Amino acid sequence: MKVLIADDEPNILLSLEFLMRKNGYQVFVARNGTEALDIIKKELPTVAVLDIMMPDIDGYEICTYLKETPDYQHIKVLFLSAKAKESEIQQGLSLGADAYMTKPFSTRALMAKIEELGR
Amino acid sequence: MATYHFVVFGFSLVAITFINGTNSLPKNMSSIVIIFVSVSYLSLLFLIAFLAEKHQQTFKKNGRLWAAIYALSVSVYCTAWTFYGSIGMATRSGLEFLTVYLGPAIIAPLWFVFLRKIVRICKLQQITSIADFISSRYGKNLSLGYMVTIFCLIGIIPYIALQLKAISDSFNIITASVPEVNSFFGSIDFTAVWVMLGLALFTILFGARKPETTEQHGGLMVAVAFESIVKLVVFLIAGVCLIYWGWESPAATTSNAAQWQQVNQLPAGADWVGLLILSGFAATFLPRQFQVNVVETSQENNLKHSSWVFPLYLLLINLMVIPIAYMGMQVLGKTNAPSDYLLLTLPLHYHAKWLAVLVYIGGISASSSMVMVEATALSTMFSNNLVIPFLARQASKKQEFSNLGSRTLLIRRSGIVLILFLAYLYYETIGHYGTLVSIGFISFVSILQFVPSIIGGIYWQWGNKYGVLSGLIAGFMIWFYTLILPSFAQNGFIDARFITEGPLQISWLKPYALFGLDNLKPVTHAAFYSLSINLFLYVAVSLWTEPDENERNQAEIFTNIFSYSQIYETSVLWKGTAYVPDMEALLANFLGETRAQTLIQNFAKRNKINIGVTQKADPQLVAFVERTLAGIVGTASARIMISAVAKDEEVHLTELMEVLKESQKYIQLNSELKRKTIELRQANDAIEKANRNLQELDDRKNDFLTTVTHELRTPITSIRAFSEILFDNPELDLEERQHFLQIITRETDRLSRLISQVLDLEKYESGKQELNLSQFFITDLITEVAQSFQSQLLEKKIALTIEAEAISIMADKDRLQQVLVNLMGNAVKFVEQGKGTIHIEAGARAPYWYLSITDNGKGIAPQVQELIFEKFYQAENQTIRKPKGSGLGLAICKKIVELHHGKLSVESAEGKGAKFTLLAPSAWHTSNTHNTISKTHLPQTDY
Repeated sequence: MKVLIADDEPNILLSLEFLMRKNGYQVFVARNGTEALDIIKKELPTVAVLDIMMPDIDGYEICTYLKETPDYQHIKVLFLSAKAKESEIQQGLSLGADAYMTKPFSTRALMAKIEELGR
Repeated sequence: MATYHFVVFGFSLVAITFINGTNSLPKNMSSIVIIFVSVSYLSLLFLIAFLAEKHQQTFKKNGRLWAAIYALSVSVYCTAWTFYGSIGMATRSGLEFLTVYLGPAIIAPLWFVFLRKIVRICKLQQITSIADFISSRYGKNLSLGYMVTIFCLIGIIPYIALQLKAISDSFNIITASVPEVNSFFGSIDFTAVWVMLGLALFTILFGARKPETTEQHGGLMVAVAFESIVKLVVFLIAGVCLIYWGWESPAATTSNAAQWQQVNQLPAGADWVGLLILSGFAATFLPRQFQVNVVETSQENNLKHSSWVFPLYLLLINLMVIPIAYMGMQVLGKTNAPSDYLLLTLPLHYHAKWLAVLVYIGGISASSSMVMVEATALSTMFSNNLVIPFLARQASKKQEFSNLGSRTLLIRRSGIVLILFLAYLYYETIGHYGTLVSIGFISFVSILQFVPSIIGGIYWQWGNKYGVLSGLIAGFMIWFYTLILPSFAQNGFIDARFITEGPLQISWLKPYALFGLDNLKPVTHAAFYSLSINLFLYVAVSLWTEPDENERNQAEIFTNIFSYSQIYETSVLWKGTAYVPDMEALLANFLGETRAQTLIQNFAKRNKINIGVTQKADPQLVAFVERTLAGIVGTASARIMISAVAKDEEVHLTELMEVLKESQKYIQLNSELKRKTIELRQANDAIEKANRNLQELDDRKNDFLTTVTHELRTPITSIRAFSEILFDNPELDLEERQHFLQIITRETDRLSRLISQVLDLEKYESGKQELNLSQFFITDLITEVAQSFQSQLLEKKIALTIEAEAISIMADKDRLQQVLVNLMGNAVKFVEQGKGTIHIEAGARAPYWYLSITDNGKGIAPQVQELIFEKFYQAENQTIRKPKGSGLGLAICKKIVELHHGKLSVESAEGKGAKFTLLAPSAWHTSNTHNTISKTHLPQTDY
């Protein structure tokens, strides 16, 4: 299974990359929205784990783009964000995201969610 | 409805008669047809007036329409004299006729200046005629009212007669009948009798409907405006047709220079000027003009419209006069057709009966509108300034006015009949002889006599009733002697030698050449002598005599009306004792119980007067009742009645001035209040704005909190993730384990740094942070900071140069160090590995000291240079947030510098590095002793 992780925090990327690899996924790492879109177009990952607040293109935009483009509609989107207010979670889900998890997150719960989405 | 059907019937009948009549060629028409036409036209007019009166309120709501009606009604000035007489006058004396219209056209634009003042006075004092105006201004004097009224009647009745003559003449011309048909009645002209009766009826119905003369006559005004249009349109149509036909007729082809000169001759200079003045004032103060300009005007602004509509109207109606006059002389030659009626005889000459009838209708419209308005105005004077004051005086002895009330309308209506009857009598006895124009000018000169007392009355406070009385009497005597007596002589009532040789052969008393002044026309001659002697006596006698208090009060109000008009209603202009029931009873005599009660109660409510308790009438109320009465019976009679039922005391001028001043003070207070209200509103706005600012601050605080939370979550996330990884994966190798643990440690540091910075910022922003000032050398500070960065500089191979004056400054050293560390940190962060240079400079720049740090990093885009000092600002288009920072560093630096009363700024261009400069006042630093300019080069790293 191909998993994309996009986050502008290097340490978070590092931890996520470690976790994915350990679970045997093929991991692609993006440090901003532009890189994320490039990887998506090239690799068509099964699951995209997206941070919302990224410097260039934010997670919302990427999610909207994916869900509106027929070629990418099947890609599961998981928002992983520090935005933890109920209204913010609702906004993320209303854009068509398949799951929403807040930072700080439980690694086990996250992995279980990705596993579930990948099935 | 009956009237309407009658009108339609009348018109269709006339139309049929015309069609039948076109083939047969009798030059003139049967009287039956013309009578029918006349009756039909008057019925139509009646219908218009009736409907307008009924729907007056709807009309008045349309302000522009109503203004147009008033502007048109001023053209009541153009009577049969204009319609028929101008052409006649042009054939006799050329362009002289134009003066009658140029004068008004010149004075009309000035109406808004002086007539507005009169309108204001009349509205406030409920004045409804010239007689009332003059009597009111000069102490509500009865005898003045009598005199002006009588003079007006004498002066104007010939003018009304002139209209009757015009209608009657035109009827006789168009029907070719001779007046004296019935031998039984002698030489009675039945046409004139019928005309008189018809017009009397019309005037009574629309000009004297209600007892209040201040009530405007909407129906009458609309009818007059309608007639103004009729006479103008007819004149223009007739003019165009006649000129067209005349052009084609052979008679016109032989041009006649003598006749052309005849119609184009100019009057002599003095006559020219005299006639201009005469007609200008006539168009303003003739009773009918006063009626439309002042009494019927509902708004002063109407004068603005009439001041251009009226001159325009005059221009249009005079456009065709000269061509028609010339044509008439050409075509008809010296036939015995009276030249006054060329407009009628020319169409008959061309067998254009329809046009003749049209012209005849135009003539009726010109005459009838004048007669109706004039009779309305004169009857008001007749009743309010002649009959009622007389009766009121009788009645006041018995304090019984109830009879008077019921008779007011009757008196006015009888007045109308009487005036028209007198006009008819004049026409029958004398009027046959003069031309239309000569009779008109006699009236003009009589009206001129009122000009000094009116104009003086509103501008000259010292003019008094003795001046007016002597001026008027003298003026009228001269008028009588120089214009009326000669006309008697011309008609053979007295010896004609009176004119040619003077009375008893005294040549300097010749009526047309007093004191040998023989180069003026009779009219100008009369106007000159009467007006100058009148004016001289008015001024001289006024200066010689003293007016009484009452008159002085009125003079004060009239001359300064614009400063008093706002306060007039509430000002107490009356002193004495009176009782409410008396006041009410007095009004009820004229208006009926209910109306009187409502009026008084409304006034009391409006001015917050309590009338229930004492029964004693408030002075304001008494003044109000007097004004209301004045609108019904005239000011002088109202004065008599009030005096009869109330115990008057004299109001001294000083008291009046006091009262008016009080009221003015009150108004000033009012405007003060208004100003305060505005100020209050402004204060309110300011508070609202402050509130909005607070709200904005609050929002920003919220944003700040959100950002802080987010920034805190990021390191915690990493710490938790790595902790869990370490916990779940005991099999990790040592290197990896240590790496992860190192991350956890670093993120923890970041977290604690962030927390302390947030707390710092909060302290600076809330002003809780106090500076711990001390004196130190700026070079020491720089050295310390540079040393702390040594390892990083070496690692990134950055060249640091320092150029600092060793000045001593007073500042919080730790805080400044924090600033410097932050700026250095940024510089180190943003320069490229191996190529970086950083330059620190410091010194005095009186009255400041400065410190700058320049790097050759990637620089800052100009549009964000201000923003970088904001909290949590991360430069845009930053695809990678590689160099880490809390986003609070520069914000804190700025606060610290600001606490030192300094300024932190940045100069930069993208790709060209950045220069941060700290500039702070040296007022704090005590010693300015910078001994040397030390050039320290610390650590000399050569990569």
